[in-house]
Amino acid sequence: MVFAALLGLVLAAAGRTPAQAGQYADQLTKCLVDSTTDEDKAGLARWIFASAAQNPNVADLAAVTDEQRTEMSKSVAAIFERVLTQDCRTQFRDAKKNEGENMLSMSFGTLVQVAMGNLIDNPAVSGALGGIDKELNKQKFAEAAAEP
Amino acid sequence: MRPRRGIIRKEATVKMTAVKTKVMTALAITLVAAFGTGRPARAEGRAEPRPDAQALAKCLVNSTTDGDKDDLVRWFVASTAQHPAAAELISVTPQQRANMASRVAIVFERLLTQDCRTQFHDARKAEGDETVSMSFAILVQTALGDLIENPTVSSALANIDSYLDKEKIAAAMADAPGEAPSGN
Repeated sequence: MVFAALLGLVLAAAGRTPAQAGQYADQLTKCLVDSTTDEDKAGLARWIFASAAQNPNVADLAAVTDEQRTEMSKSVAAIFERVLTQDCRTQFRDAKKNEGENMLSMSFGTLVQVAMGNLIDNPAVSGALGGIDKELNKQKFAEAAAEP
Repeated sequence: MRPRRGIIRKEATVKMTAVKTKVMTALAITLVAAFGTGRPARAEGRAEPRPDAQALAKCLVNSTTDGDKDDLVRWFVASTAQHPAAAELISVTPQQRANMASRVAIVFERLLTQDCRTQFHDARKAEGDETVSMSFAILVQTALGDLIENPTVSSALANIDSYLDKEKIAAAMADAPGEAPSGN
């Protein structure tokens, strides 16, 4: 009962719901998403995961070397540069010119959202997140819902 | 046609600091948008959350202890590590995974059936079955806000800034309208 809605909410929060933007920003976003290859997505997912794993609370679980982190950062920077300065150069320029200063921010945000979406959308990850459902004592929930 | 390189270089130098600031700002905005801020979340798709749902969300956020958040964060990270691209970056045994899922289930049960029982009852009555999933999403978002807001994590994410060629980006921004993009 928990999993489907949870995934929906997290994916919505992670950017599946297009933000309010003008037509040029929309075109840029579309180009960014379309230009991100499967390999890019895997690199982005790896990077966001490795960054999150820096949290001291999970540091004991992580097995990421400094060298790997540096490579990931370089790889994500290269993706970001490529999509803005090559794949979506025209859209980037037009959006920047017509819709203002925050296009760089929005573009980076789009890439992070693509990364999060890819991370969570993976069947193995969805399965792991959804696994919580079988741990829940549904009877307890039903009782609480029935009587405060 | 090549862009006006001399002009672009000058503009690029001026803009480099601004580019860095923008990337950092974007990161903060995106992460807050993606993971929440720890504030009570709204039921997705509703412009105005109803009072019962709001009361439940508030209770859930307020009743989630630091220890609960730790459990949630560990569970979430271990779950996302199931992604093939991330699998080699973490070491979690099946027993650890099972323990994490069990702890999260206990936290969730405690919140809905004890700490926020009244609010859950009222919201469930008003909102229906989606109350359970909405509650869980709030819990996860609260924990993930903590995960990402950790200074070590923020700085790890922001580290890509060091590797960006800001001149290239500024040059792409500065292409004249109608000018053929140089591509690289």
